[in-house]
Amino acid sequence: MAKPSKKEFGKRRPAPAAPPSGPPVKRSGHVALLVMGTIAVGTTAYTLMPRQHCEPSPGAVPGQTTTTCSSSSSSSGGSDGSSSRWSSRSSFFSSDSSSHSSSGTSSDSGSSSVSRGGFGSFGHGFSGGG
Amino acid sequence: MRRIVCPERDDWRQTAEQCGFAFHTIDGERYWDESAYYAFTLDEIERGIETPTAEIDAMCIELAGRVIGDERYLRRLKIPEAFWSLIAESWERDDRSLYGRLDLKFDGQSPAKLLEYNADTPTSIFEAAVFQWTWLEQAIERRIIPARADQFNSIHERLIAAWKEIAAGRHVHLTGTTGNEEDAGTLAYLEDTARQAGLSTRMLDIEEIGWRDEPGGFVDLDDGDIALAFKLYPWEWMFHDAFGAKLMSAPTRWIEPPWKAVLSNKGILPLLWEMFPNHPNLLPAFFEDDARAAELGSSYVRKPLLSREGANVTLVSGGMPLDEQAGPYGAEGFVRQALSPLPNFSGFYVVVGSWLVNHEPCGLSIREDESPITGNRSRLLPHAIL
Repeated sequence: MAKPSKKEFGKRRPAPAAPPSGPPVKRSGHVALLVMGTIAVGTTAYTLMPRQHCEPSPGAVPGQTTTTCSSSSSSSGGSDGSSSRWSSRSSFFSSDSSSHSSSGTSSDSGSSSVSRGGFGSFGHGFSGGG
Repeated sequence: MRRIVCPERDDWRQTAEQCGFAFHTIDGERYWDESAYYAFTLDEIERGIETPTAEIDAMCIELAGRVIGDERYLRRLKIPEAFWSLIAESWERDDRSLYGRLDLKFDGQSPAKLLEYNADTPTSIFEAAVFQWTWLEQAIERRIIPARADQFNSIHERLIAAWKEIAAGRHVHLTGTTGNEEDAGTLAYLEDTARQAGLSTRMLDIEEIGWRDEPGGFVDLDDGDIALAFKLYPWEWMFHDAFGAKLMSAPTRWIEPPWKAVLSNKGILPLLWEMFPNHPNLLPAFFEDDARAAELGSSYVRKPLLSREGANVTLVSGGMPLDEQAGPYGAEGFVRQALSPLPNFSGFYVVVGSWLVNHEPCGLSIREDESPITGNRSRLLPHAIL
């Protein structure tokens, strides 16, 4: 494995901030949501809603953006929202890191050689957040 | 730093639901709690939280550079060898980080101490960035808090700015466990900020990601290429999943990038202590199998290398477990961190979440619990600068 050279060491240390030209920005000005408030989120909403593909309208100004969303129907891939908080999984990694395991079932999308379901099996029904 | 009891807004639940914050109450228990707020002075914010947050982030970046370049550390963190090059290449490319959250012990008097770094998949950012801000505006308007009150919170603007810089006009896919209400809410909010940055977006469940053999790559439900993806799904889970083996050959760029798998590992706590001994914002910490762990004596906090929301964390005092959160983690090993009890305000233990967007400290959120271990059901309270 290529190792970073010594000159790379610590390269990501953030540069000292430039002297502010005005008061430090510690607060928001106007917090506005573009579409989130108009689309309910959550298990039910996501699994029942058609999938959306959103493009900002040409010439849109952030903060005053208009967004065009096109929908496409698809089967739900959402997880089941299991009420069980923990699974009985005992280990993230086997000692042999090349032996990936998955309880998920890959499926053919119907188009040429595309398989799905290869992500999500490990965290099925659980929050990935922290 | 004070805890101030205050009246709730009569209509806060309706306000929450109108803006998509449907998970304000979980299993009948309040998650958002505005029956009190935490008040800080500007000096406490600037010198007590903002400056240490930047300092800790800088130390973490320096540590990441060292870990990624040394396989001894990668083994120590139990990162599978199959993914070392994925991590190293993302580091060398300088793949950008969007955000992260440091969980700090802070009582307003002593230096803030790093408890852990949620570097990979932090949630509660919508609550911190938007709903907490809405509370401030309405609480001032309704004279619940003084008119002069302010808040350490520019998360929203910084997210929009960071998307512009990091995505640079590219289409963004957002993915995660959308069947989980909180994760879906976090994804929806981040998608909203990406759109406000002028980006085109598409959300899909992590299970809906496809793999196309020729040419090899991850695709969405229309078999379109996933070139840049935000994922709210831990790297260690991706490594374990069946498609993990395809990560190396895929051209997809990920936010958070693979090198964040290093910083989301609690093994960084002993490594930071080793690299920056006696730093005022760190607690002594050691790997459990390190003889030096005995320096902590019989009182410490035992944390799995890989864990979220306080799961499998045990407080040990005088050799006896005081409190323990159940969970599925721990097979990869544990670290021990010096027991440094959380401040207790009116019977509630408090953790300060300090947010970084594009490496800039820019806001905070408060979690409160009757338990000294902060978990996924701990309540989130607003804060104000008075």
